[in-house]
Amino acid sequence: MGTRTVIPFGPQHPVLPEPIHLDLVLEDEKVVEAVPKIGFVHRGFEKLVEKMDFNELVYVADRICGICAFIHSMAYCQGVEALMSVEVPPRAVFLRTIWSELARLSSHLLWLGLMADAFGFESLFMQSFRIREKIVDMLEEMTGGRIILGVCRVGGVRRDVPNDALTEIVRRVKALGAEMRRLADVFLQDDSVNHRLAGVGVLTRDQAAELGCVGPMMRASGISRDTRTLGYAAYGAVDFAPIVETDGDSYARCAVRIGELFQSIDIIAQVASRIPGGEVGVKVSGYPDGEYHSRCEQPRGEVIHYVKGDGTRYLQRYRVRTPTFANVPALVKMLQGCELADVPVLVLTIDPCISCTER
Amino acid sequence: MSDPAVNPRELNPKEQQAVEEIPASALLERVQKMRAEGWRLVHAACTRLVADQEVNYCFDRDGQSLDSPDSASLHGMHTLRVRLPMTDPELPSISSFYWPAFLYENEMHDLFGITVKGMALDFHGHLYTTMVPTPYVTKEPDHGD
Repeated sequence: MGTRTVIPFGPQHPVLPEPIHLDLVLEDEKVVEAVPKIGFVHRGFEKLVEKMDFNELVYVADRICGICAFIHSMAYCQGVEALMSVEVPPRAVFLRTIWSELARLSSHLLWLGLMADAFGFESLFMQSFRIREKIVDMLEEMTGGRIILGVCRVGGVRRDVPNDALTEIVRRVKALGAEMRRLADVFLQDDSVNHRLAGVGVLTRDQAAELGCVGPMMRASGISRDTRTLGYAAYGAVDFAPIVETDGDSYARCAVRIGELFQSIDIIAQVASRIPGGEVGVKVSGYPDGEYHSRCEQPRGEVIHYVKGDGTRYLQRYRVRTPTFANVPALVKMLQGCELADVPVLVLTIDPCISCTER
Repeated sequence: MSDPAVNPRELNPKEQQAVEEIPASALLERVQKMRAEGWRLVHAACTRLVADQEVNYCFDRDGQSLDSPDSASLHGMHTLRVRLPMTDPELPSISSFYWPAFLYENEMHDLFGITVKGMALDFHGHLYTTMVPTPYVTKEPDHGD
């Protein structure tokens, strides 16, 4: 056994937009143990249930994270609606699905850009962000918000989008698909990219299951599980299958996210072609009573919003289990045995969203 | 652009969710059985009530129904619930059966002051950095009105 050295990684590091700390125990250049530390920006959002009523809390849910904001508010609203037996108008449910998929496109493109930046491919980073900007523009046109959309509410959504505007959005998203294809070709076929991703951070199917992985992390290891297949929102009316890879390495995780870009475009087109007319919200009366675990598929995987009400306007408990929280144990295991130079890439391949995790 | 075939009742389905309350002393045995039956730990969380507190361990089996494991269309979540006293709450760790549980358990310790014995990875109160120790331990919620 060589001499052991402990190297602190983070909380501030060039590849980390948000703070997470890892104590890396090394033998020469090989990591033999990694101990994570989070909690640098814990905000106690969940405790705000004591101060804000269940309707106001939608704004809090929307602000848990700047990347998966809309899906957080949708998951929260779904939970409260289930408690109160609110039947959301179909048009609102379809609009929620479209915005969820646009949020997924935005998030995956952001991840691709950050990943390219991490291994020093600056032009690829810029191309990813250039395409992402067009998605964010579409969200702004439809909702008025670019990142925090603020359109979800208990009982529906706050804004409608005319059908001709939806047709135009579908046309533009499909056109962006061609640009994404060129981007995807570089990620999946360029030798320098493959050199940094292929065979790095392998997680077998059994390990992924054992470690409780979710989202692309899990699907890249051959597990075909996607919360959207449970049919929440309008996903029950959409024809799609989870994108699965089997190699379990960083390349496979990249391939899953790239596959999901094109899947999202297809889902948006399907949903827009089937969206029914009618209202986009119903009036909600009464207070939530009982408990419910609402779950959705965020870009990083399954998110759980647990809501418990006691018949008053304040919830008794609100708890959010984010996908990154579920993927941290896998990161700890994945780092064991890797080279020090691969640590930044491996940390990024779980697509860490620390602001979600810290809540 | 609209499709009249869309049935509103098929949208936004509500999941089956069952709660099984067990004593803390039976937790490990029950969790071991859940693992043997192929359940996945979805999450664990603590809720502070008025007179006591409850810890929920939620499991699912790849979207299968609670009633029929063969049915993929009816999915569900099964919750094991343990009630704990307000003073000196203590639980055994389930991380020997579900290793990733150590994160949930460290969170219960840091935010709710629950002592969890035998965690696979114990941060000794340093998972979260909070200005107030165990910030969720309050006698009653302060609604401010």
